[in-house]
Amino acid sequence: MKRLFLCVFLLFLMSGCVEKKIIDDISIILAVGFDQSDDKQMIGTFLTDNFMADKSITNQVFTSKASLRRDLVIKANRQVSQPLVTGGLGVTVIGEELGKRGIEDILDVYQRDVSIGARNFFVVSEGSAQKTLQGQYGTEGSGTYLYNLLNNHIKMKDLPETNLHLLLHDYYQKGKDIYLPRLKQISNNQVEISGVSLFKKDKVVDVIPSEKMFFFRLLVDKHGKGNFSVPKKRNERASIRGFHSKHEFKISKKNPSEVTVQINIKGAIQEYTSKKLGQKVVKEIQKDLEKKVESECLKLVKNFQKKDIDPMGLGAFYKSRNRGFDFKKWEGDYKNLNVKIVCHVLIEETGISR
Amino acid sequence: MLLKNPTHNLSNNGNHKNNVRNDGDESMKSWFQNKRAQGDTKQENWIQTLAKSEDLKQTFYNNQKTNIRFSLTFLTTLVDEKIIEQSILTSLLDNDFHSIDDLKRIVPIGDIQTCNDPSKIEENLCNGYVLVTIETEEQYFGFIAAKKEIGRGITSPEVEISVIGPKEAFVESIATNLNLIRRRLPVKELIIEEFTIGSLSKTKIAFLHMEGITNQENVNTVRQRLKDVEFDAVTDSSYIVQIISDNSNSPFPQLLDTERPDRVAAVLAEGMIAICVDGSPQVLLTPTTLVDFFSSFEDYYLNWIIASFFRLLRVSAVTFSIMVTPLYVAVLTYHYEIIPHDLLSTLITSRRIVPLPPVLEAIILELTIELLREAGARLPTKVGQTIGIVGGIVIGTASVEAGLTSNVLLILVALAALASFTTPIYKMSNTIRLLRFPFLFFAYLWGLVGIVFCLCILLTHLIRLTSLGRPFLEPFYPTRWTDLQDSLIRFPFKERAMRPQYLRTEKPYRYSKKKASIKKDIDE
Repeated sequence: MKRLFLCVFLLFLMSGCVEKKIIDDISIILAVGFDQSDDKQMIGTFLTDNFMADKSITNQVFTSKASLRRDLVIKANRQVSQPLVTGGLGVTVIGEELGKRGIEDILDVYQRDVSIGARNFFVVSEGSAQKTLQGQYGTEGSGTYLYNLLNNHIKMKDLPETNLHLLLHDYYQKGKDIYLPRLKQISNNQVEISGVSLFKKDKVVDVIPSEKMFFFRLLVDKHGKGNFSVPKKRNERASIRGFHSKHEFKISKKNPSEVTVQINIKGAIQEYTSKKLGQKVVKEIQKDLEKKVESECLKLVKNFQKKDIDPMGLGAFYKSRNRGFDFKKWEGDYKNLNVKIVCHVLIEETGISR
Repeated sequence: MLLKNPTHNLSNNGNHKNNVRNDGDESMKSWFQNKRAQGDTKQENWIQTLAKSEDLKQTFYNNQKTNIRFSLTFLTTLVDEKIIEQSILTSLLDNDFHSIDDLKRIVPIGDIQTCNDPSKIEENLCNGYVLVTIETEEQYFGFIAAKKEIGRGITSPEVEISVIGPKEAFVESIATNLNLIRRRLPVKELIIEEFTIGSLSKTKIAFLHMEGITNQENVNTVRQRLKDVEFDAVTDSSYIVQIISDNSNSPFPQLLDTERPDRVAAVLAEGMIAICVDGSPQVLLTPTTLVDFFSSFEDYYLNWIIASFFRLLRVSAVTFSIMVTPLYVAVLTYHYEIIPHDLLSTLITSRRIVPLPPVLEAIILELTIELLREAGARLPTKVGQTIGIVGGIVIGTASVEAGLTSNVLLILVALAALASFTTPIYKMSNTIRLLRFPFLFFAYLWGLVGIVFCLCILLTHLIRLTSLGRPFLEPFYPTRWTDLQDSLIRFPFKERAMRPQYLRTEKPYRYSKKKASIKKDIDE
């Protein structure tokens, strides 16, 4: 019993060592931006929310300049009355310049800070990250706005899923290259997702425009969701919402340098600009769509091969199927890989018409 | 003279008139004679202590037929004077009365004892007996029971209220309580054993069990523990709970006290043991498990689906009640990371003008609620109602407006208080009231780690706890599938053929499952 009391007493003594972070005595960073400065230093932009008494939210942005990522926070802290903490971070914006120079150093900070959640979104901005974060978006605070924007597009639309966890996983996996969504500031209070940046190692080398994002997601992600339209003969157009898709790689047994990407889409017709939508027309639309997906995806893949990037993870796939896989040889093989796209579309419903 | 002061009577007008109306002139005369002959008898020493009390009364009478002189001694405050007037005196005065042994023949009362041991006189007088002595037999005494029965009638339960089901509750009289139980189990197997405990209170205690069902080891343990009770005044069954519990240093009650005779009858049939204490409207049940304290007996009167829902609701309410304020304190003090973005603004805005750290804020509010509850319990009912208004409206809103507490916490604390009221057994709800304070303290010290730490201590304590040597956390640890069927959820009666396993009953099955599953519809 005496020993027990002693233990409890010692535990109480130790309780002073725990660092308290009372919620209203800290400034929670909701979004952070990194930019390359001219003098080989980095500019950090930290976005926090001020919660006003009338329950409205105002944004506050702090910027600092340093060569080490961690120093940015320490320097920015000098401008803030309450300590800046990183635990609430939702969005990380990488400036365009920095993206081209490489983001490896940034990823290192994110691996080491345990308080940053793995669901943190990474985006590349068009223009500087600082400018993007200085905008006033929505009423719920810019940080939350950007987070929700990305979150909704990943869940409901055609943005392929990315977050810190997947980013780090792909980055350190051999035979796969990373890709991040792009943000474009239209005006001071408008921002849009303008496409996907493709990386080679840690540098941005190519961009996929927003129109092609659906096809890109079909190639890299499991559940593609999104709208796109198929032009048909003359003035007829159909808008189709894909609500389930799957892709599968198959290596040809006869010729190992031939790989087939099998894409299955289930979708629904949401809009059709003609008089009648019969069974026949639906079949036609399915065919058209299959053709379109096959050609568009092939274009994308050819482009990947030309730029020598592998966001689909074909290298990782080949490695998983071959014992003693040689990556050096693969680098040359990849460009000459014969990729075939086979798409199968099933239109399950055409909506209710009166 | 037998007594120090035999002159006391109800009229007490100084001329020592006897207040027993049937008393004839003759007996009065003899009474005066006897007064003159003070100090003649040797009985003097026998009632020395009791004679100091004013309510002891002794009267002398002469039998009309045999002219034998006899005396009645009793405590006016304990005996029913109607019995003395109508049954005892009439029969003693008018019939052939020669010796003490005649009492059983002539007095129409069932409980008559005779003895020649003077040491028993005072004890019996204190138990409401009337002492009868005759001149001729100085060392031989007769005792006639004439106890006054005062007590309230049976009312509806006040603590364990149910909407449907029986509305009878136990009262203070042990005889009435035993009657209520026996009526529900009219079988010869129901055994009632009685003890008297308490060196001063001489409290009658009865413990009930079913022969052939209840585990004999349990019965022996209870008997042993009750016999070993060393205490002076036992005025309520709660004393017994605290004295015979396995671990009296635990905040958890290990004996369940109920005021519902239907509950007692049902669990006796399951193989539990019931303990009735005279003067207490609560009957104790043992051995129990933790889940018993969260089952209202109304659960058995409702359909099993509905009852299961209510039980789950109750258990989650209790968990919520214990955990919610500590979680609030832990998260707001240490773990801002786990607060969702959308909730962040609500929490921060509500705490903007609060100058206190979350833990002080929480303790202030929790103590306020406890104060309200305690004040409400101590105040007379009519005044007590205003406490609710004062607490709810004035203190709650005023403290938020004054910026002493955040309104989010106010809602949480109020909800937690509400949730803690769902516990059907009052003693357990007290325990739950207390439990959240250590949690709060640990949450303040180490955040969520502290809560887990405290939870570990609580769990260790519960696992170690026993009720009559049977594990207190039973259907969960050790795990017993058939008992789990009547714990957090209640299976239908047709699935519940087994008696609770932890009771180790002598007959494990309540009914034959085979027979019960046969459907005998008339139209088939």
